[in-house]
Amino acid sequence: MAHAHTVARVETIEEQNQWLIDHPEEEAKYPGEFIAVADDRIVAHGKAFGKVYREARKLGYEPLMAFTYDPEVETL
Amino acid sequence: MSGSVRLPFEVVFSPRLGRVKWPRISAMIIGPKASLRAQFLLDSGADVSLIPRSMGQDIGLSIKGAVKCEGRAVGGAFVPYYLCSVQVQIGDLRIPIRVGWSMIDQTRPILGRLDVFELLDIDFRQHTNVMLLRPASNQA
Repeated sequence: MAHAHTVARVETIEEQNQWLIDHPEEEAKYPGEFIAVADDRIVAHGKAFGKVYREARKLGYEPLMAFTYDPEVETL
Repeated sequence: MSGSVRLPFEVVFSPRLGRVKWPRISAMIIGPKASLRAQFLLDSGADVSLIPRSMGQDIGLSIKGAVKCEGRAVGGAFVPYYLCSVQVQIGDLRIPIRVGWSMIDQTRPILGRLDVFELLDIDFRQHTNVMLLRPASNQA
């Protein structure tokens, strides 16, 4: 019996970055955190880089890892 | 290494400062065993680039033979790190650089001056919201 497979297209880093630029309201939900961006959404977030990256990888993504702006703490 | 890359600043909002243009850029960091996509703050005030502990582990860095260092972050906290060699690809530009592999996983990835600002000419054109990166030339 033949099975239909849907193979997810791997996004480019430029596409993932553009999604972030286009959706500042999404990353603003996680101020001062690391986020993993893939599949047009934030697939994982948290304070430690490794935990966030591995969670996204476990879900099958090759994410763009980003850190978010914290409006309460300016970068000096 | 060829061409040039134009990148926008990230525009974020601070309740005290208003609109803040943040020089955050996407790059591929390439280590001995793997590569990883991440955003880096382009920081002309940092002596050396810095990556968090697990990023170094994930791309296959090793402390064997690496120089152990300690740096001081802007806030005054000391950051222990190992100086390691990687490659970074920003658009079409691929450069070999030394990075500080932080032993702290909360460290934010930054691209500092060591190697990065030697190999690339970088214009911060904040007024027009553009960062222009191109291979370094000898022209003044």
